Amino acid sequence: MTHVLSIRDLNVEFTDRGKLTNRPVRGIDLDVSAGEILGLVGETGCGKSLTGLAALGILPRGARRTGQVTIGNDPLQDSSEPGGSVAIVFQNPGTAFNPVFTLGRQLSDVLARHRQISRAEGKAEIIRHLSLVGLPDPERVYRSYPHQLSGGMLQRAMIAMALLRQPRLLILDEPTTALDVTVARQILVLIDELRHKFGFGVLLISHNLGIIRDVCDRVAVLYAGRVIETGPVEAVMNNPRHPYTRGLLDALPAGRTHGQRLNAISGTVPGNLLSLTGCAFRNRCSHAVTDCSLTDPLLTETGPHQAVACLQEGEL
Amino acid sequence: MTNVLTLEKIVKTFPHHRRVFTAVDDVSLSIKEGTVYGLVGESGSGKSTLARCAMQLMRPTSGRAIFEGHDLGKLGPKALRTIRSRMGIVLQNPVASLNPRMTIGASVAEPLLAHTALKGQALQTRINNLLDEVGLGAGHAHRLPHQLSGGQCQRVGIARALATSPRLLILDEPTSALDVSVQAQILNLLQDLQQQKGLTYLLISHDLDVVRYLSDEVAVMKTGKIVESGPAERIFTDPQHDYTRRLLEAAPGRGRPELADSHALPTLTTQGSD
Repeated sequence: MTHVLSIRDLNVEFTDRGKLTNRPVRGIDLDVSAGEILGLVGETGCGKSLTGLAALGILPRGARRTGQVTIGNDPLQDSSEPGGSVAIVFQNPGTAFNPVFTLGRQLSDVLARHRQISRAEGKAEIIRHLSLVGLPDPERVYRSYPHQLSGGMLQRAMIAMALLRQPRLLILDEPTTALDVTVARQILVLIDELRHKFGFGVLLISHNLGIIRDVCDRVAVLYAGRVIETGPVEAVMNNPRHPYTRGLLDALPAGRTHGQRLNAISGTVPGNLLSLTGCAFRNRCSHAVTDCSLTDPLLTETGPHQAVACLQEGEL
Repeated sequence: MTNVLTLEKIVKTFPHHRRVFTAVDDVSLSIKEGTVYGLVGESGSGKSTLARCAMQLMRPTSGRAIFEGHDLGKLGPKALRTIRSRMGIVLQNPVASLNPRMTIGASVAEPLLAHTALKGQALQTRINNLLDEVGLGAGHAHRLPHQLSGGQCQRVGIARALATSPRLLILDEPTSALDVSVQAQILNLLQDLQQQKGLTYLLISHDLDVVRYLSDEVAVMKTGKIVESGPAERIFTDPQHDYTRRLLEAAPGRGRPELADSHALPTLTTQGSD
C-alpha cells in the first residue's frame, strides 16, 4: 500500500535566543497508508499535537523541526506552506471558525486558495461538500454564522472545509473531545465512511483510548516525545507489551466495580526532556531495573507489525 | 438511611429571546446518606443547573430543595450561609477554578475564613491537614496554581470543598479535564474520602464509565427531565429508556461504530462523489 504520510526521525526543538531549551518530540517514525486510520495516543504533554503540527509544517513560534516528513511523494520543505494534499481538523469547532464571517464565506476562501473556479461553481462545490458531511439543509448552513450552529454541525462543516482541499492525508487533533458522546459517535462514523469513500489516510490524535480502539486500524502510543509501542489496534489494546500502555488501559474505570481501586500511574510526564538519560518512563514504572536509567530503549519488533520500546519487554 | 438531599419538583426557567427556556423541568430525586448519586446526560440537559438549584447558588423557579431537613428556599441569607458550609462543590476545570495570583494555602484558607473562626496557627494546621488529606502535602501551600499539574489543582479543589467538613459534595465533571492516569488517581481519592468520612456525593458527568464506577444510584437527564433513574447496575446492564440505551451505545470503547450504528447518519448523501 502507498504511504500518504511518512515521518522519519522527526524531532521538534524549542530554542530561546539560539539556545536549545526543550525537545518535546524525539525521533518519531510514523507511516500512514491510503485509506488507513492511525491513532496517536498518550497523555497531555507527550508530543501528540506537536507531531501533527510538524507533519503540516505549522509549528508554533520558536519551534524547529528536524527529520523528514513526506506527504504522498512530496517531502515537506522547511518553512513551506502546507500543500493541498493535507488538511487538519482541530478540537474545538466553536473557536476554529471566525465568528464574524458566514461559513460559506470561510469555506470559499479555502476553495479559492486551492482551486481556480468561478464563484457560482465554487458555491455549488461547497454546498455539495456540506451535504457530503451529512449537514441537512446545506444552503442554510452556507449562509449561517458559526454561533448559529451546534458543535456537532460545526465539526461537520470543519470536515467539509478539510475535504475541499482534496487531501490525501487528514489530521484530526482530538476531533470529538468537545462534543457529546452521541454526537462524537456520529462524527467518528462520518470519518470512517469518508476515508473509505475517498481513500485518504487519517492521523487521529486522541487521549481517549476508547475512541482509538473504536475507529483506528493501527495505533502508536507516545510517551515523552517517542513512540513507545505501535501495532494493529486490536493487538496493542488486547495484548499491550509496554508498561505505559498497560498502565493507561489499566487506569480506565470501565469494567471496575464500585469499591475496587483503580490502578493509577503515579507521577507525571517529564516536562523537560533535554537532560534525560535512559528510559523516560522509568520513574513511573514498576518494572524498572538499573539498566533502565542507563539505556534508552529502541523500538523493537515483538510480533507482526508490532513493536515496543522497553528493555524489560521479554520479562513482563 | 436518611436522605441528605431531597429535590421536589424542581423547575428552572430562563428568559430566552422573549420566550421561556426550561432548563430543568419538574425534577424530583432524593440522595441517601453515604451514597453516590450519579447524574448523566449530554450538555444542555440541565445537569449543572439542577446542581446549582440544589445548592441555591441559583434559585429554582419552583420546587423545593431540602437539605438535612431544611427547606433551603425558605431560609434567609444568614441561615443559608451557615447551612451551605455543610455542602461543597468541586468544579470541572481545576486550573480555571483557582485564583492564579493566590497561593494554594490562601485558596484553601478562604472557605475556612468565611465559615469558621479559625485563625493563626490553628488555621495553618487545618490547611496543612487538608492538603495532606488530598495527597498534596503541606509543602504545596506556598505554591501558585501554575506551578501545579491539572491533577494537583483538582486535589486543591477537593481540599477547598472539604474545608468546612461538609456532608454533601457536588462533583461537577470532576475528572473531565484530566488524563486517564490522573483521572484514576482522583477517582481513588474521591472514593477513599467518601468511605473514610461517610460523605454523600452528587456526581455529575457525561462519562458513563466514571458514573458507573462511583455511583450507587443513577439518573439519566435529557432536555431538563429525568428520563430514567434507579440502581446504577440496573441502569447500565438493563436500561429501560430508549435514550439511555442510545447513550450507552454511543460511549467510546464499545466497538467499531459501523457495526454498532451504521444507521446513525440518515442524512449523509452520496450524490456527486469524486
